[in-house]
Amino acid sequence: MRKALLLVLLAVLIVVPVGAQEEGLPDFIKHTPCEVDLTGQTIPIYHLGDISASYAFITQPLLVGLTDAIAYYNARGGACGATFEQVNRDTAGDPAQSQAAYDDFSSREIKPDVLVLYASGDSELLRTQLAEDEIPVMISAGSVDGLYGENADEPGWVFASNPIYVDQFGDFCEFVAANPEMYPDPVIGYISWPGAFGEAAFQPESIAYCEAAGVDVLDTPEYFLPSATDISTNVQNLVDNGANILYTNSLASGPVIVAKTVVDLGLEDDVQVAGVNWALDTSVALLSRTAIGSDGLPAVNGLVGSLPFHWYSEPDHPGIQLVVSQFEANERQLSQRNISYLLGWALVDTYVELYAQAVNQAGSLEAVDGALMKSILETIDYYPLDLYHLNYPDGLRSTSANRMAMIRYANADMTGPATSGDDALKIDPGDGTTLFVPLLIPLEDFAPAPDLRPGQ
Amino acid sequence: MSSNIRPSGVFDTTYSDDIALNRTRGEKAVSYGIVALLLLIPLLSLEGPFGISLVPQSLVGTIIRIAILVISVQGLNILTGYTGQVSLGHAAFMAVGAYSGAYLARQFGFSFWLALPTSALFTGVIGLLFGLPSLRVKGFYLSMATLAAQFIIPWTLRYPLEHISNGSRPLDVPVPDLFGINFGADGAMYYIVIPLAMALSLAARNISRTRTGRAMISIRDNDLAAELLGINVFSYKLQAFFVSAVYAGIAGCLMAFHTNNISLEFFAPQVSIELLAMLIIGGAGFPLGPMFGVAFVILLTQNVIPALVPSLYSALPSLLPFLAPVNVFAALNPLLFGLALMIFLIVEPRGLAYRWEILKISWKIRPFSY
Repeated sequence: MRKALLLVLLAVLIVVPVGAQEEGLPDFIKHTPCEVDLTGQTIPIYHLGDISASYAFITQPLLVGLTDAIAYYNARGGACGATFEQVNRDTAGDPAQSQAAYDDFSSREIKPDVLVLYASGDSELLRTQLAEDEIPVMISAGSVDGLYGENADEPGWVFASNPIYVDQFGDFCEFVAANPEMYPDPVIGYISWPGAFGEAAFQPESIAYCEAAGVDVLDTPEYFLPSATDISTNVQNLVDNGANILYTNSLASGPVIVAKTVVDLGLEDDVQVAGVNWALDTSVALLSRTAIGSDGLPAVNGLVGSLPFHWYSEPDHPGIQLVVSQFEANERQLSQRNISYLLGWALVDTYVELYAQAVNQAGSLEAVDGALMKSILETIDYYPLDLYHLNYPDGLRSTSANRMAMIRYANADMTGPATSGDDALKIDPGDGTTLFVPLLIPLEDFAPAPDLRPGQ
Repeated sequence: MSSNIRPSGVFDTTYSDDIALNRTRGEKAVSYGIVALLLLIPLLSLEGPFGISLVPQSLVGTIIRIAILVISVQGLNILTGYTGQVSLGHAAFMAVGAYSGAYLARQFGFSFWLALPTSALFTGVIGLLFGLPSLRVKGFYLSMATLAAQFIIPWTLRYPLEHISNGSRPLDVPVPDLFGINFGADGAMYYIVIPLAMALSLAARNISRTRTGRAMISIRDNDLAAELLGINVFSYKLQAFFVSAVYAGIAGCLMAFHTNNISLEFFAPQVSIELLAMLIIGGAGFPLGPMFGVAFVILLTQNVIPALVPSLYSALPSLLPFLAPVNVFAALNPLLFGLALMIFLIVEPRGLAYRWEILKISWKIRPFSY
């Protein structure tokens, strides 16, 4: 009898670590059950990119999100018992540093099974090398060149968790065409940062798609540097040529300066500012607090753009609930409650799923490699924290579900958006400015964005 | 300098002895040893044919990047170190080499082997054009004229030549190959870049010993005196611009084919400043200066500082409370780079190469200190 009890106890001790990995995770998170126990092992999450230059507003909260999410998942068994650790390098937006950081990661004795990049430029820079080294990359959004090559016919090793920029722009045109009461006679002027990211949406395919939907797009885009402080000439050029919508593929200070210039030129009532998914972010909403419109609200109030995942302003969503509860538990700042904090959580959750599938197939962590990860990504069908749908059918390298949303600011009662500065909820941050609490209001349900790769 | 100082009793007995770069067996052994060691490095890395990990694989990529910039800074050394013409547009000439090489390969199907010399010559011609102001201006004004290149060339590539350069967006560049051998991997590309860097460094070294090189040095030291001696100052300045731009073109073209992707961000104005700083740190006017300078700066900014950053994350809040740890890389990189430059300008304005020469002399005349 005692021997039998001991055997049962031993069996429990062996089984528990394998089964324990999901203990403590909410029910809505449904990872693939692990068949291999990785307890005691470590999985590095390699990522590189600009943390301290023009992307800092976005990427610094990503680090915080990754840190919080890693701590949360590690405390709950990590991936099949293995714990995660971050290995990252800041490139400060310098491609030479990106190359050096990539060389460092890719030449390690154990190459990364997956790498995370932040910038479209980096994905284009490293595309060929990633294929040679067989390292798949996860990126949030991206360009056609980075994901499919310049002829758009070679799905590579880079996988985006949002629709690519050209698709987002086409989807925006679709939204504009479907809402003629909001946008009568729409003419879009494209104004953005120069470079792989900023120019990624302004492509012949997206322009043709918009024109076919009845939305004119001005032939000549306007570009300004992230460091620019006056872009009134750029905005005036577009408006003089008939633009009544300004679409920007920039982030943080980019959409803010566009909206601020529209206000400064007195064009608020005539021009709609719109943008890529990064434009719909807390960073944009908070940076705009010093650029106030005639209604007393920050200039970006009313900015429309893509929101291809669930957001903080959907408090009933279980994934949002989890992230917000951890955000509060870790006493993070309002500026960190942004798009990247959310995506950092989704990323770690994706890692748990990827490694569960990978070790089940490979039998051990040592046997997992980039080629296996790529094959898993190609067939994955997973909802990271239920925030978005990760799925890449038919050689696609980006997801397609998207929706449009609008930046608004909360009213004093927190019952909805404010109509002016007078009834807005205001917070004194103690730096002489006034903080308005941003809300992102979805304007439609999720639907597939058009596939605007060349040749599709 | 140190080559002229030998232990007592060692004489040149032939003309070839007199012009030899390595004058003693010891020097020869060291030189050949370094070459052999350099060529062995990829073979001793994990991705080499033996699969051993005696040398970290990342070192191969680092050495390639250093070698490419050494070629570029050797060109700058000819212009600035030997001829005394300060250039603030060197990165723009690298851009010309990179984009012309990429264009020739993409549009006309040129192989890398043909694109490299063609783009180098083309860059030389562009360098000549920007050297023309040296006829009328010098010093501060000439450096401003070369700075113009740093703005005009990227602007031309970005806007009028957008159909060729892809504007501000990155441009794919084919992988070099030869007789079916693909040079996409670092280990293979190494054997293109390193021999070229060695050959071009030797060529730069020899230029300084020719009639042309001596004329250039005389222009640097005193252009009026040089002119009075019958040296065609303008012609030699133009030659220096041409050769310097050829070197930059080769470096740019190699960079494009090494990364297989280029963008104008690689050739920003600050890169020109950094190239000049590398030359100052290494030692302008010394053949070894570019090697020391580039290696010092690249190792500092791409290896040492990134390695320091993680440990600084925890230490910084108490040391520099005004600096958020997450910004440490962006803060530390220019700070240490600037600091290094300042220290060299104050403590050793003639650069690391000069210090190396002093060390070599001390070794040769040991145990005497005079």
